[in-house]
Amino acid sequence: MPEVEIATELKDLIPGFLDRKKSEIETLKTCLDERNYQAIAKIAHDIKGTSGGYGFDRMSELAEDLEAASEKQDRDSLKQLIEKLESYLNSITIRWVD
Amino acid sequence: MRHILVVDDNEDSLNLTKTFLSHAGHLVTTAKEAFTAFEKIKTHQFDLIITDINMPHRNGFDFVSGLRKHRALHPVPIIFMSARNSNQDILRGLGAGGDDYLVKPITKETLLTKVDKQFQKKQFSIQEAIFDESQETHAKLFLEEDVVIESLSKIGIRILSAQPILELKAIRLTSPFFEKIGLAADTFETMQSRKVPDGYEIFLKFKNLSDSDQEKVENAIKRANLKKAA
Repeated sequence: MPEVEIATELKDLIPGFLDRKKSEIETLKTCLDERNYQAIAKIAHDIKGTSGGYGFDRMSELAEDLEAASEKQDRDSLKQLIEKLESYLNSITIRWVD
Repeated sequence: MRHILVVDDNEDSLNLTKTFLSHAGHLVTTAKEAFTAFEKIKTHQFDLIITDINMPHRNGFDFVSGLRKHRALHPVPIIFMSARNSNQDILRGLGAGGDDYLVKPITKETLLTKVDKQFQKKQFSIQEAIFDESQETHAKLFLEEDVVIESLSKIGIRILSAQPILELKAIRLTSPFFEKIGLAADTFETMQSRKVPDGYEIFLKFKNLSDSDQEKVENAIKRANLKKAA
């Protein structure tokens, strides 16, 4: 189970942040079914840009790969990466640091 | 405490930036797209704007270009903050009028360092006007060494040619400067600079100023000095 160190000053923001990521995972799945690669790229780009700032570096890396795969319209990679993102989100534990 | 406007359509990014800045003691106002940002700029005085690029309706490049068309009115420093990390994007951002570019994901340290850097920029001052016997008016500007071009930009003077500054003999100025001090553009004749121990003295030379125009120049310089004193 991956443990992530997050700054205590972000404590109030994290529940909303994680809820939105879970919702975005569902949107990504729908977009993949609809072959809406442009929408996948936009969501992946946003996750890449924000998650690392909160301390979720692995999420940012996966989103970067997702953005690249959406540009290639590589459905197999997209499916795997979305699953990895979902698995990561469901398994992380947070350790608060000052 | 500085007042910072953060423009970003992504709620998580907006929340994060706002938290880092407000915990560092800044007052933060947010906008989720350029139109709202423009409205806030009309009614608030900001010390800094931080803007994303990929936004609906109007992207960050266009937002900043629009602001910079009226640079005399909006001399506020601007930092782009985007996950777009290509050299092309960074150059485009700086070309659009950005003062700096921050690649997402951000860290608190990087953000605050970039922000502080904008606030530490030295300012220029118009020191005095000299009205000589030939009825020509010279406005003497003193500029500190490392901020000559940026400082000129802040009062709406855009350097269209002439670099480096040490070789500057005459430059072309755009109209915002003249509009700002209430003069017709054709009253300007030449500009010269010379190196002094702490920076540069820049001389703006005007010709054939009427009494009322001369008064406008004097008042502009007085205002600049008052601002400096404040």
